[in-house]
Amino acid sequence: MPLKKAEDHSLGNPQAIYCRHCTHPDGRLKSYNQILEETAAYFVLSQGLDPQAARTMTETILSQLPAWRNRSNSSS
Amino acid sequence: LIYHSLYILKALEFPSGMTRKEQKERTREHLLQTAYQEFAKRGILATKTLDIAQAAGVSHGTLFVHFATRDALLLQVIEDFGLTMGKRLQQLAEQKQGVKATLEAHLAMIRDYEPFYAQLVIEGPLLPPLARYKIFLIQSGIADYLEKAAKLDMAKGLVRRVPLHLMLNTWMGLLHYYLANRDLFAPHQSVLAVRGAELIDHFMNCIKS
Repeated sequence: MPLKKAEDHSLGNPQAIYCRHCTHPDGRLKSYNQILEETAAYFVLSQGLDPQAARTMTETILSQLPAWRNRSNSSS
Repeated sequence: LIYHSLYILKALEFPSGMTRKEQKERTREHLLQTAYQEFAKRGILATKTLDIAQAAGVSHGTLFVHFATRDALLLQVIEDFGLTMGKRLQQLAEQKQGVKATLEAHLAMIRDYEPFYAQLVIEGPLLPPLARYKIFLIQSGIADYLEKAAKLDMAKGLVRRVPLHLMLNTWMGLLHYYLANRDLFAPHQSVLAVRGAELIDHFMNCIKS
């Protein structure tokens, strides 16, 4: 998500590079698979997308983000 | 003399004492702005990189120094547009409460960028997958605000309990139909300025309890 306000960042810290949705309560980045599942589920719930289409869309979007750009298929 | 000539050449190349890096950044921004305007004017698929370079007053090759492919340029234009829309929506919707006020904020946000947004609506399904997905990401912003507003109004009994995705997609369907055919609904004008209030009133009538 766009990091517009302090509360959008992990732990409400504007210096944190990840958003609050992508991190655990202690600030650690969630696993790739967890973010993939949660984001795809959000697209299904909020926009009514087909679950597999939402998953493909999320995988493509995540592959563009710095944290996941060089991710191999087997890593989490 | 040689030193002096080089100094003059350097001054011409980098006006106002800009460094090479600053000049490069300025050209990149100029290309993005020009691409945005050309896409809005000509249509996204109909606009060639040569059109953008000529409108920007740079060589065709210079465009590819900044953007390796046409798709890379298009993706950056949509990305920047999404960020601008997100900030604008935040300004407009943050202090609003309820579905009607949120829809008014949504229309005010789009109205500022209506020609380009209409092209995204018309051509979105024909764009490369990542460009298309970025458009859905932009819609996530309004989905988020609409969800909060709808829950509030549902709790007060002001609107019927309908699944969020159907509420969002019904609104989008109505709005996008008018945007895609804006030349027929409001020739030479902003269709949102002319018909926006009517669309909101109709939608609110459809969902009221």
